Order: sequence, then C-alpha cells, then structure tokens
Amino acid sequence: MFKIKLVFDFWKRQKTRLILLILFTAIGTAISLSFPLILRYIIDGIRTKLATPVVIKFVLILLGFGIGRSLISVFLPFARGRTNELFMWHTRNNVFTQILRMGHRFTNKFPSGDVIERLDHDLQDLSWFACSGIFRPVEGIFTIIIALIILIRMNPLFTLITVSPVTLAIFAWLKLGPLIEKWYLAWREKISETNNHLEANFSGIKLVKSYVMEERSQKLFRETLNQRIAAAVKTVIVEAKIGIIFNGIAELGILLVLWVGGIFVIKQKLTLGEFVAFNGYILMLITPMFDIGNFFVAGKRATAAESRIRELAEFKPDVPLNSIQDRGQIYLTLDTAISPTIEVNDVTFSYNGKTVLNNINLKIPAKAKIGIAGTVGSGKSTIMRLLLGIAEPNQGSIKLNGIPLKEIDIRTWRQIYGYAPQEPVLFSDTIRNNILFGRNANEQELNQVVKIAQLEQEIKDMPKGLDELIGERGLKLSGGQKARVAIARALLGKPKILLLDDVTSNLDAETEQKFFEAVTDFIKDSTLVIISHRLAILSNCDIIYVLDNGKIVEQGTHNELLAKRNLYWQLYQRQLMAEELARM
Amino acid sequence: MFGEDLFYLEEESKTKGLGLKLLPRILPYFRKYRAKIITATLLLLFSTVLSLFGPLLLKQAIDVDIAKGSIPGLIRTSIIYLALQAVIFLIGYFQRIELSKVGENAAADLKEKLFQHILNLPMSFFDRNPVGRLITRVESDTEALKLLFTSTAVVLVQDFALLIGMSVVMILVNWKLYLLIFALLPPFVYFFYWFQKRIRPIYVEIRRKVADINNFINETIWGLPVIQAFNQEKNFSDKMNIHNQEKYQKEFLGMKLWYRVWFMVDFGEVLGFVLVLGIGGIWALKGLITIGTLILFISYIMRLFMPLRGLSDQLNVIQRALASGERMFGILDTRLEEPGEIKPIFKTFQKEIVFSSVNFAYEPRQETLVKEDLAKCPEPKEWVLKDINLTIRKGEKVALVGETGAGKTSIINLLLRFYEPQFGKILLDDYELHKLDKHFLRRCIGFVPQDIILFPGSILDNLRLFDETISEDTVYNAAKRARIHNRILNLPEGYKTNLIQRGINLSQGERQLLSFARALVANPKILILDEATSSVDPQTEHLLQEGLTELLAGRTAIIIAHRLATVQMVDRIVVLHKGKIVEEGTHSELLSREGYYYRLYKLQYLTPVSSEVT
Repeated sequence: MFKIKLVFDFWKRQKTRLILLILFTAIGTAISLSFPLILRYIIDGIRTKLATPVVIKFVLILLGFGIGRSLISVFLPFARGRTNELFMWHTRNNVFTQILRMGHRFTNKFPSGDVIERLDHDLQDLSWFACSGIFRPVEGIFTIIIALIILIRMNPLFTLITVSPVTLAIFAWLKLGPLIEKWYLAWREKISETNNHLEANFSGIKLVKSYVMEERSQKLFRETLNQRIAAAVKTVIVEAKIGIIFNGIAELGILLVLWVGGIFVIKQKLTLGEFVAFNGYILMLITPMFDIGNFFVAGKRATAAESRIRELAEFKPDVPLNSIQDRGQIYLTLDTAISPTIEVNDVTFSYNGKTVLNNINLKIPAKAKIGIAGTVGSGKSTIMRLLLGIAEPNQGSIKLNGIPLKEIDIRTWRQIYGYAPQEPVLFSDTIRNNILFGRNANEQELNQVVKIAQLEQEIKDMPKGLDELIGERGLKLSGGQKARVAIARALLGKPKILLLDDVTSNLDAETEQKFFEAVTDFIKDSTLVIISHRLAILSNCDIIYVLDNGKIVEQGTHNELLAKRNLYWQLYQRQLMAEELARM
Repeated sequence: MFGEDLFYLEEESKTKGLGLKLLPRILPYFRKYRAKIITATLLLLFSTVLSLFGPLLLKQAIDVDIAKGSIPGLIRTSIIYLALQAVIFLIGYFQRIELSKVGENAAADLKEKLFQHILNLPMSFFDRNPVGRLITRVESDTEALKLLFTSTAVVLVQDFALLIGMSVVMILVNWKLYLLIFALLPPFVYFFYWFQKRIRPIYVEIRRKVADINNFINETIWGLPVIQAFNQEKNFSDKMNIHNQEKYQKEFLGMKLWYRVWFMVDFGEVLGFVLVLGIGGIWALKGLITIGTLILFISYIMRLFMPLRGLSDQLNVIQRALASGERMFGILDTRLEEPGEIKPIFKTFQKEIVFSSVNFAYEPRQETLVKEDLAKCPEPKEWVLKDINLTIRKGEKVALVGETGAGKTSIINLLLRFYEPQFGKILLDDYELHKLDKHFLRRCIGFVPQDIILFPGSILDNLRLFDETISEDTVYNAAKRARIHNRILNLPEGYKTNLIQRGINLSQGERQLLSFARALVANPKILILDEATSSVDPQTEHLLQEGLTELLAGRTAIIIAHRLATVQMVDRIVVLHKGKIVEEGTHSELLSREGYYYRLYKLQYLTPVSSEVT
C-alpha cells in the first residue's frame, strides 16, 4: 500500500512485538464491543423483571470486563508509545551513523538545521504513523468485523438498514481527504512566504533601516498575512464541511436506529435491550470508518516524511568505507605503517564543477618534513583532506608504500595520521575528552601533548583543570586556546604522519616559536605535513610545495624558493609587509 | 555562525501557575474581535446545551413512545432529533469558521505588531538576536498564543458548560443517581493536581533532551572531517545512542505518569457505568426509575469522561503559550530606536558631516546560549574607534581604507545611526546626529552594502524597494545609468523576474551594479558605499567603474574602497589603522609620503591577489 521502507524494516525486526500488539488490539476491541451487549442483557433483564441477583451478576461481569478494558486501554497506547519512541531512537541512530560517513557534498547539500528538522519533526510524523497510525485501521477493521457479527446475529435486516449508510464515511473521506491536503498545502505555502518575508527583512535590517522602508515592509507583510489568513480560513471551511458530513452520516445511523429500531421494538421484532445495543454499536462504528479513511491521508504524509529522512541516510558518501565488506582488501599492518611513504600521483579533484586541485604530484617519504604554501583558496587544505581519505580524488591515485588507498580499509589508513584542521573543531565536553577523543592514553602521555601544545599553564589556571567543560564548540575558550587543544589532540599517540593545517595563525610569534621547537622534537621520527601562512615556519622543511589555483607552481626548500623570486618570494614579501603594518 | 539560535534552549515560563498576569496584555489584541468572540462563544454554549437534549430525546423515545407503542410519537421524536442535530451542526459549522477567522486575524495582528516593533529596534538588538530566533518569535510564539485562545480556551469553555449542563439535567432527572456519580469527582480533581505537578518537570527535561540531541547533531555535522580523520565514527554513534536512550527514558517516565491518568479516566468511566447500572438497575427493577433514565445517565457518563482524555494536550498548549507570551512581550518591551526630534528646515543635506573626537565600542554581545557560558564575555569598552576627527564637505568623495578590523565599517555604522558613539559628536549640518529625525537622516543617505540584499519580489520591486510612488521609467533609467538594464532585460521575465524564486545567480559584479541601480533610484544626497571585495573580469570591472562614476556624480560619498580605480578616483583617502585615522590625503600625496598607506597599497594592490574562491 505504502512503500515505507523504514517502517517495514522496523517491524520486520520486531515481529513478536507486532504480533502481540495486534493480538492485544483485537482483545481490547472485543472487550470494548462487549459493553453494549452486556447493557442489552441488563436492560432486557430489567424489562422482563428478572431477579435482582441476575442483574447484579451482569453488572459484576461488566465490572470485570471494564477492568479488563481499562488495563488494555492503558497497556496498548503505552506499548505503542514506547514502540514509537523506540522507532525514533533506532531510526535516528541509524541515520546518524550513516551521516557520520558523509563528506563535503552532504554538508553542502543539507545544512545542519535541515538535518535536525528532518531528524526531529519529520521523524516524529513518521514514527507516529509507524507505531500508532498503522494500528488505527487494524483496530477499525476488528471493530467493524466483531460489531457486524454481533449485530447480524441479533437482527440481520435491521443491521443492513442501519449500518449501510455508515459505510459512506469511508468513501466520503477518500474523496475529501485529498481536498484537505490540497488546501493544507496551500496554507503551508503561505506560511513559508511569511517566513521568507521575515527572513529577508531581519537579515537585511541595515538596508530596511537605511532606505527607510519599515512602513512599506510592514504593509507588504500585512498583505502576505492577509493571504495567509484567507488560505487558513479556506482550510478550516473544508474541514468544517467534512466534519458536518461525517457527523451527519453518524447521526443518520442513530436516527435510523431510533426510528426503524423503535418501530421494530414496538412491533416486537427487537427487544429494548437490542435497541439500546444497536444505538451503542452505531456510535462505535463511526470512528473506525474515519480511521480507515484517514489512514490513507496520514500514510501519504508519512511517506513524504520518510523519503526526506531516507534521503539523508541514502546519500552517497564522498569516500566509500573501503571496509572488507565494501571493497577494501588490505588492513594495514604495523610493518607497513612503520615507515609510511605516501605518493600522490596526478591527482585532480573537482567539486561542484570547479577544479580545486589540478594534476597534483607529491612524494612524502617517511619522516620527511613537508611544507605547503600558496595563495588563499589555492587548494592547500584539500590536499590534506585527500591524504586523510576524507575526500576522494576524481583522477589519479594516492598510495602508501605502493598500495593504493582504494585497496586499504579506510579506518586503518586514517590511523596513521594525526590531524589538526585550520578551524579547530571542538565538542561540548571536557578538555581531557577533547584531547583524548575516544582514544586511550595514560596521564603522562596526555600531559606531554598538553605541554607541547603550550597549554600547560592555562589548564592549571582553570578550576577543574583538564576536566573543565568547554561549552558548545569550545565556546568558553579563546581562539588560540581552541587551536592548541586541537593541536594536542593531533599530537596524542605520536602519529606516524602529522598534518597541521595553518594551526598557528591564532598564536603570537613567541608561543608559535616555542610550539614548533617542541613539536619538531616530539615527532622527529614521524612525517610532518604543514600548511602555514607564516612562511618563516616552513624554513625548516625538507621541501615546500607552492600552490596557486589548484596547481603546484613551485617546489624546493625555503631558501631555494626565495632565490627564485617567484610566487613564494612574493608571498613572503607580502607577509613581511603585513607584519610591518601590524607593528605600526 | 549558522544556526546557533537553533539550539538556544528556550527558557521555560517563569510564571508559576496559570500566568494570569499575561492576560491583560494579550487581551487587547483580541478586543477588536470582541463582538465576534462573544457571538461565537454564545453560539458554542447554545449548541452545547442543545447537544444535551440528544440523550433526553432517546429517553423520551424509550420511556414514552416505545413504551406506549406509539409509532407517530416515535416519528415525531425522530424528527425533533433530526432538527436538533441539524441546528447543532449549523451552529458548529459557523462557530468554527468564525472562531478560526478571529484566531487567524488576531494572530496576524500580533505578528504585524511584533514585526513592526522589531524593525524599529536598534541595531544592537539584532546583534544579540540571530535571525532564526526572531523568526521563531514572530511565527511560532504567536501561533502558540492563537492555539491557546481559539482552541484550548474553547475546549475548556465547552467542557465546563457541558459539565454544568449535564449536571443540571441529571439532577432534574434523578438527583440521587447523580450524587452517586458526583462522588467520583473529588478524587479525580486531586489526582489531576498531583499529576500536573509531576509531569511539568518531565516535560521540561524532555525538551532539554531534544535540544541536546539537536545540538549534538549540529556539532557532529560541523566536526565531520575531524571525526572521520580520527576514526571516531563509532564513538559518536555510541554517544548518539546514549542521548537517544536518555530521551527514551525521559519519555518513558512521562508516559508512565500519563498512562496512570488514562487508567484512572478509563476506570472511572467503568465505575460510573457499574454504579449506574448496578444501583440504578436495582432501582429500575423496583420501578423507582425508568430504563430511559438509565440510558440517559450512561450516555452522559461517556460524555463526562471524554474531555479528560484530551487534557494532556491542553496542559501542554497552556504551558507553551505562557512561555511564548513571555518571550513575545519581552521583545515588545525592548526599547525602540530613538526616533530623534529635529526635522531641519532644509529638506536635505546642505553643508558638511563632522566627526569630532568620536570614541566608539560595540556593547558586549550578550550571548544568550546557556547561562554558564555567559561568563566569557569580551571586555567591555574595547574601543573600535578612537578619537576620530573627520570633516566631509558637501560634494566631497572620501575613501576609507585600512585592514580588516581597522574601523571602516564602524564609521559608516555610526553615520547611518545604527549605533551611537560613547564619546564625541557626529554632526550633520550642525545638527547632532542622534537628535536628528532618523528618517530624515536616512533619507539623506543612500547605503550600498557589499552584497545586494534581495527581498522576495521582482527586480522592479527590489530596485524601488516596494515604493510604488516611484515610476517604472525612473527605475529603468537608474538601471541604465548603473549599466545593468540590458542584463535585466535578458532575464526570463525582465524586470518582473523574481531572482530568489527563480534561483538565478547573478555574478558578484552584476549584484553590485544592481545595488548601484537601487541607490540611483533612491537618489540620496549622501552615498555610503561598501565596495565588494572580490575580483571581477576586466569587462565587468569596466562596467563597475562606469556605474560608479554615474552613481557618484553630484553626490557626497563615503566609500569603503577595495579597488585601485576607486581610490584613484576619490578626492581624499582616509587611512584607518586600529581604530585611528593615521593618514589623510589623495592617492598620489599619500604614496609620495611613503607611510602606512604606501605599504598598505603595496600589500593590497600590488602583490599577487589571491585566486579567491567564491
């Protein structure tokens, strides 16, 4: 009926739960439906002047059934509600786990606000449907079947007369449901229009104020609001009409019971108790009709929500996992990784149709110190992302000791690196956990990297030291502190290859100098790849690659490059000037 | 900065109890619709009372018509029943529509009022409040109030009326039986009181947990490259699992409470049935009451317990609406921008602009994230501008140059009266800027920001900024002078094109030209231009220069200059460094001085400009 994969998969894993829920739904429905029947016996009992104990016996049966119904009517929604939450929990986890594999293309397509919206409201809609919505028609069908059996056994002709108009409700809803949906969507449209208006005016507040357009904006806003009111009222009118139709159908049933049933009773073709029971059953038949009709509309909405959620989970990651299951074959052994030589051969990387890196060739021997310099936006950071296997080249290959990256399990590949990006990425946790970042290290190792990152004193000054919470995205730390925590994280465990992406731009010259001395000493047996705008830092590198517009335009040592008086030299001059300006 | 507002944990209502204090402030927005509200409420009450007659008619049918075997009587009762229901439906139909009209209109009024108020708040307010949060205020908070007044209040009124009405009927029919049912009520009232006290903190915790989860997703997406580089996917997915589990447990606690209520309600209903049928049944056997009475009581009991089931939603709506109301009035209580009183005799700028010993600092930004994070605020009074003395005569074209953070933008922010300096004076034609009527001032000044800000609407609307008193020809003419007319004509619908809707990307240069055209339409005496930084192709560069020449002709101009051509064109260059004016003069004068500007010039215009990505 609806191809809602997530829901289907969920219930496939939860078969027992599903069967139990259906079973209890059936029992609950049966008990509820027994009420008018018991009522019938009591009334007919009173009518025929039965002995008091008999009436009391029926009342006690009623009490027993009532307690049963109460228990089930609590248990059922409780179980569904729990399943509902369980569904959200699992789905959110699963989608989130997929998202964790995603790269740039994903984050560019789905802003985090959008992801959150989908994993919050869309997921709520979907899970309601998956765990409560689908049981409504189940309950409805049980109700209809059981009620019909009871009624037909009581009086087939009367059943036919009174029940047939009620079935109109299904058809009415099938016809009118889409109509509501249509108006509802039109209304939503107007709502987003008002939001666009707000967004434009609040973001462009400087323009609004400087061009004195406050009053005009307000007038326009009012116009949009008026259109929105009109759409809202139209939706309500449709809903109200549908309400009348439904209630009208219900009342038609009751009227028929009252009228035809009354005549039947007078003509003694029906007992008074049966008459009362019929009245009760007709009322009980209306809701199921509505639920069955509504199921289709709700199903449509849930399908839309599900496809929005699945769009996230099924997005193709930039880099495949390369696990054994996927396509990777080789786990790096300690031997292979002990002295890693990386080769980047003819690598081209483009993004959104724009070539970011063009035919890049690099050789990074084990223990080498490599510098990367270049103009802004020339693709320096992208090289690091390619080395890490966070992005995958469109052409060319990256190899470790001769083994192509594509053949190695990406997780083992990444293990050889330590990485600190240009913008420090910190999470709302303690400093300790931000440095450890899920890895094991003893206190001594931890203190060592803290010291190298020049954080020792500052951490001592914090009330809780390493266990200080740093707030969302490291909000409580200064820019320089954030950078150094990120550096400490990269250093921990003495990685085979350390990638530092312009991490020192927030540090003052003195700290920077101290930092580099300490780092070089710490990782003298490892490879270092460093991007920096302060070219003096690169002077100790074995080789420096200079990038411009996605291409390597120069390479050599600091002194060689300066002697060439080319781009590197220009960058150097520029930097000297900038420093001079800053000192003025 | 994206989305920081998303996770700002909305503070819960500070008001304890029902928050009746808010009522006198909210009600005026509904006063306009008083007649309609009263009519709708009366109609509602009327139809509620009418609906009580349904079971009475059933009783009539059973006790009188059927008992007597009177078919005409039965038909009469049926017809009355039919007519009764028809009236109830019609009333319900109109009442529902009218009420929704009132609700939508009152909500729209509130939105409009908030919108108007926000537009007139000082710029510092916008620094503190991200756009997303403001949209939430105008959109969701007003909707929450609407729901409270048009849905929850109605339901409560109706339920109350029903309760009273049914009580009256039951007492009249058989007060002894009624007392039996009534005895059930007090435990319920107590139970609800107990429950609502316990559920509130759980709701708060659930909402907090949801905020945590959203926050975590946000942080994770932002940190994806690092998470992947460090192989932390498993770890993060485990953390997510824990967050989810915690939310599940909180929800579970809430559910457990809820289902206790449900059980009570359901069981109460059963008890009602049993009491009525048991004791009433025995009385009926003895002939003390009729079967019709029994059935009447049973159908009333079902109605009596129905509203109790919906109570959870109502409680939630009330809580949310109260918190919304507080936040909304928080904004309405924020002081508006000073309007300024002086409206000069001359219609516009005559003589000169003077900055005299101006010192300026932005107020520390009160982060509204989490309270404990407030601790880390920037030092108050970090001067952005220090001792600025500057005179710009009518007709003069002045370029402001300096490195990022030198204070260029702050100068134009002050000039547009977006902020006020803490020390010193800014004079326009001898009037102090902050005493001048702000609209007068801003009509004198045209502002061209770095990037064009587009509003939903056509290009035509955007160029004349929705001012329909400006003729289309004026707009075309301005666009021609700004050298963008032909480009606009090439768009799918020409001047009627909606750039946002169509998703049309104009190049940086074209966007700047469009901004020029907008300023030319406004035709201000003083022009403030923040030049776009990005480099453009020579062809566009040429157009930009032509457009700029047109734009500057006959105007006083202050330009944050990024282009070599511009600094060469102006009368005077003011060089800013760390909030101070360090040099002034023409391009060639300053170059020959070989001071700060000389170096800045070499840095910015001579050394390789980065091949910037856009």
